[in-house]
Amino acid sequence: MSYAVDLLFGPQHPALHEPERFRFKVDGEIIVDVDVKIGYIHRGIEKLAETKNFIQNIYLTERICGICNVAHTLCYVQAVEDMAGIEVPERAKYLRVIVHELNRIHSHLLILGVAAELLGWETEFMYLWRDREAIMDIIEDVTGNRVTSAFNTIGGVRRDINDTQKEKILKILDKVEKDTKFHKKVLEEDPLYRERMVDIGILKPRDAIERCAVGPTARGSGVDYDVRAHDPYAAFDEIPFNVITYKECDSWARMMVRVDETLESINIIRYALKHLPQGDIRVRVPARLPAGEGVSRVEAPRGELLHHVFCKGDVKPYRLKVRTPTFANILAIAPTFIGHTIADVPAILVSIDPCFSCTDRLTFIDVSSGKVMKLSLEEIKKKYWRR
Amino acid sequence: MEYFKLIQVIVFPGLAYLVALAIFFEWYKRKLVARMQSRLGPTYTGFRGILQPLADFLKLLFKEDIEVTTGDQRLLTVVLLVAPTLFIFSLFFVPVMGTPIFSFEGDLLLVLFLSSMASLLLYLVGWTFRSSFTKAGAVRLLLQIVGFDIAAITLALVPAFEAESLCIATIAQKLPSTILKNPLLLAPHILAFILFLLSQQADLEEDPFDIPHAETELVAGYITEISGRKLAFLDLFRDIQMVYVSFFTASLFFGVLIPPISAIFVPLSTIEMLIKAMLVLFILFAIEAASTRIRIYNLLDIFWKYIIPLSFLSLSILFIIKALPGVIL
Repeated sequence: MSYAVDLLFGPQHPALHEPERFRFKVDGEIIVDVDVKIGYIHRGIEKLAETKNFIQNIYLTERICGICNVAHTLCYVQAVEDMAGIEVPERAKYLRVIVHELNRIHSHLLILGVAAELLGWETEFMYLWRDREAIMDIIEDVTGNRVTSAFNTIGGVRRDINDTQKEKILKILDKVEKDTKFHKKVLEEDPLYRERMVDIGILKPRDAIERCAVGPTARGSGVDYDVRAHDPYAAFDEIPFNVITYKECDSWARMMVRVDETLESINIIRYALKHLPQGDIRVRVPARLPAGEGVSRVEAPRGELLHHVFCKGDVKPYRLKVRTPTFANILAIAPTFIGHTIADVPAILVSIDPCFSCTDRLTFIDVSSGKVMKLSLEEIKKKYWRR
Repeated sequence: MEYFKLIQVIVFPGLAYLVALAIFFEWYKRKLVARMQSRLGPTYTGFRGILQPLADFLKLLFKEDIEVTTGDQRLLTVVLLVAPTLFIFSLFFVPVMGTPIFSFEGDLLLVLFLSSMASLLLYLVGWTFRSSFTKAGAVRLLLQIVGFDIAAITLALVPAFEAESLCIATIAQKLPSTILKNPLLLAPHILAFILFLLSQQADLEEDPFDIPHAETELVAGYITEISGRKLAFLDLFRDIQMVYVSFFTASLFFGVLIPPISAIFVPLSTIEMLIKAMLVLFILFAIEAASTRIRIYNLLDIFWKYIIPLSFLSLSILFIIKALPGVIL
């Protein structure tokens, strides 16, 4: 006989930095079932994008996710350029790669720190975030802002990098590389960290492919899949780099993929700075774009990101569709909770680097008939809002 | 003479001194761990933020006392009053200023019993509420107590057998000379000291043993539903426990080097004991800063498979050394 009780993680919980709900059925400390409920932080960005013009939407898409903001703007502007058939100058492509990879380093160091914090290891969290500040300084120097920088724009980038900045970046990167190697050694060897992470949340390669896991989640399961390598965008077809995979399939492997990718990103930035072509950084684009549709995929820090823009010959997009990596990963990872203890929940959850506010989508479904409905705000107010 | 004892109990080295020390140790902890984590720690209130714990305590006292209806508030109040009292009462038997206020042969056992009782009372805090987080935290706390308490009591007997006394003050005073006479005793002594520190770390619920109130798993474990004044007293309880753990460990394993034979030596021995207590705390905080939280099953593994057998081993080594021919004790 089972004595399973419900344990609710969320919508408000210290292990979740954004509101989502996980209902765990626990028998003692062991999890026997999990029910993921997303939808607590739906912001209606796709709908909002239809009311703004193409330039304004850069700033909107940037705010889909604050942490991987460069990936979102890059993906969006690439989709628009794909739709309008705009050729981006070579120098702009390299600059995009540089800022994109800086963004990846900052995101990876951030989640490695958060992982340590969720496991109760505040010291490693503080050290990682302290070392991450150097990258934030570079981003501020290059783009003008620490986080939401709107560096990419339709037809190129907004700012150039000069030689003094280049030298400064290379100098800081050396320091970050040294720090990251230290952290790699720590995370590889610390017995307590390994005890908490190794063999936790096993996602077999076959399951990872079946459940469409993307990004470090898939690569931690040994699936060699990286949009940068397999569908190159910006200047990634000219820059050599390795796709990092780990065979362990557990939480630890997923975090180690991020450590190694940080080191790989540093090398990519070094190469891009060294081979930075001369020329313009942007081409001028008219406000009104021709009718058509464009798709772009980029490798965001959390995995494959897709933007689909559809335009009917207007200053605004008719429809913008975003598919974020956490949406794929959260469903891939959900069954792996079963059989582990309550203490392992943060360890598994953090290993996909969850970003819920990007993920939330809204569809009205009549549960009794299974019919998908469309409701306007007025209708919702009249029928469903509790007063 | 009676009045002198009363002043000792209330002022020094009794209630007032111990509560002041509790607040000081809380600051010491915050500052030290912050520096270890390359942070600044408290800076604003008083000299280098030394009054910050006091300010936090006072602030919590002014907060609204939210009474969760699913919990037994009277039981909670009683627990929160009794639990710190048990530790303060235990500290009267510990030579905080070189000599204790009260002392009798066998007070070691009383103190060990009282500290176990105080930990068990915390279990009631969690059990009184009807929330899954507090329940899970309370059960974890109970499992944790079952893990570390046996080890702690066994290990506390090592210095007792070395000094051949069950009185904490006598142990503390005889310990340096005993070890000087027979340096072989250092082997079980150091082993017992390390293991005892780990068991006390589990008692204090610091990393890697902060399992019952693990923030990222159970919100705040058994104290999830407590707020306001009650939380203030729970925090004070933790700080007083810190004082108890540090002085108890220091007097059992370091002894008193400068016994206060006359009144002139009292400040000296007080400072000596304070430095030793802070040294013990330094080790505990370093362990806390350097480790991740472990699972409750890991804790039971560590204590039942390694620490409890090793504590019996250290006792056995002690007996063997004592039984060696030619050793005069």
